[in-house]
Amino acid sequence: MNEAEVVATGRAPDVSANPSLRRTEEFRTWFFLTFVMAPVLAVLTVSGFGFVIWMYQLFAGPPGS
Amino acid sequence: MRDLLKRYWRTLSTPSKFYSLGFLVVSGFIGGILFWGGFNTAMELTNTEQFCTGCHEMRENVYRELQPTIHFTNRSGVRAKCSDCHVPKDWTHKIARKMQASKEVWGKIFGSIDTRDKFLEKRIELAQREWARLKANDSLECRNCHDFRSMDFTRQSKRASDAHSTALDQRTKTCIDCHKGIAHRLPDMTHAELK
Repeated sequence: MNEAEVVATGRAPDVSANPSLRRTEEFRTWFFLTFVMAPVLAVLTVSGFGFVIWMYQLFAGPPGS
Repeated sequence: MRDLLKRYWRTLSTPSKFYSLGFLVVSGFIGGILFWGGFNTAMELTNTEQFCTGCHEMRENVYRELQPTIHFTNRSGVRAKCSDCHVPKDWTHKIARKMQASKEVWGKIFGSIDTRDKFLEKRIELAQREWARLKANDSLECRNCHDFRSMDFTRQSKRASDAHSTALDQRTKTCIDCHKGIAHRLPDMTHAELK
């Protein structure tokens, strides 16, 4: 797919035809998922959980009451 | 930008061509272990006394007051640090407490107790919150170390054994009901009601 085609069809170029580009993209995707997205999501999930319990305790009082 | 996202979405949603399934699974697994280890280490770090007394609000007020008490210096050298009493041990409530600490960060930024006078003014509110918490959980953090079943009344003073063998035993009272102001000084109690 050349550039003219991209403009015409509005679709991203299919990089699977270009192995070295595809390889770079796969590496970057893997790196981003493993070292950025997964840790950030995990931290957000855990802190969100803690925050929800905090908010719950504001209404229900401290645990055990 | 949109094209870039589309391109990466395509890479993301199709099977990998250059990385084996084995590599991807193992790297994810190891990454998970490293992350969880790091997470817990970081959380333990926030439980250390060094971390708590990193701010002058804690170091100059509550930590200084703790030092002459029996919870800091005593004949056997067993002592309590901040988190032993103020952070729940159970994971769920520990996380909730850590999130609540964001309010303390807020207080630090806006200096709500950044002078001794401000602290003394606010300490009744802070103390009452901790008292209510300990009352509700039946003084759980006290009982993490002090076991009622191991108390030998014959080795306690008369006043102590009288109270422990009655109200504490029948669970009509809990540790914090009587033992307020034992690790830090009491707030100004002149307006307290006698119940």
